[in-house]
Amino acid sequence: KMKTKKQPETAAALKRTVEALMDRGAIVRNLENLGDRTLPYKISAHSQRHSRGGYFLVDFYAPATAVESIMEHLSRDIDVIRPNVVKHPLTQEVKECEGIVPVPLEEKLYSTKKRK
Amino acid sequence: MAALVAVCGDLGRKKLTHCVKAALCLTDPGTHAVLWRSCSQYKHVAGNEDLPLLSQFISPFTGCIYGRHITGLCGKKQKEITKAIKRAQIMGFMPVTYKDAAYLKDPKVCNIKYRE
Repeated sequence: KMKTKKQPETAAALKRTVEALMDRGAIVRNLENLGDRTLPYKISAHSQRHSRGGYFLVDFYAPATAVESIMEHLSRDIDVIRPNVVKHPLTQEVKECEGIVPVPLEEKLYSTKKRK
Repeated sequence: MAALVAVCGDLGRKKLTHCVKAALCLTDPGTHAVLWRSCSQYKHVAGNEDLPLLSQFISPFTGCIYGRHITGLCGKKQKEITKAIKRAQIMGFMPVTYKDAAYLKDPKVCNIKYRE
């Protein structure tokens, strides 16, 4: 996910980014625009202070070794305010949570460590 | 010795009922538009779309994340929520020092009482 400065060259910046991703062997699945909004806090990047930005979400498959080079490339891009690469949340398995299990406190009263 | 054990046994029972009550209260589903899924039948904390859910666990005045004794979540879910909040804040989706104005009217999920 990355944030881009709102300018007419947004499309060019996006194209650059996607091409850079594909150069590093990433297979882009989907590109979503999460809208332009005022940032939750002012962000300083590349010697400029930004208060509005466009949010873009790029779904891609990539080898884990390419993450570093992708991040480095995105941090050099002036149009990208805050680059972020995260694992896809839906690929992680969902574990069942049983809630807070009541623990019998009588057992914890005295320590069960072996004393000489 | 016997008296001590009896007293501690009583305390243990009180704590057990408190824990069980907490788990029961958590299973009540919220009736408002913003859904809050309880700790026991919780699915994975989503990527970055669930800002209303995450904003329910921070203070509206300072933006600090509530602790386990206030939210009443179990260990795993508290950790997941905290990590998701921190991730959203650093990525620039969620404000850090305050609660987003759109989510101020959400149903109260945490066990906190504000000064009128």
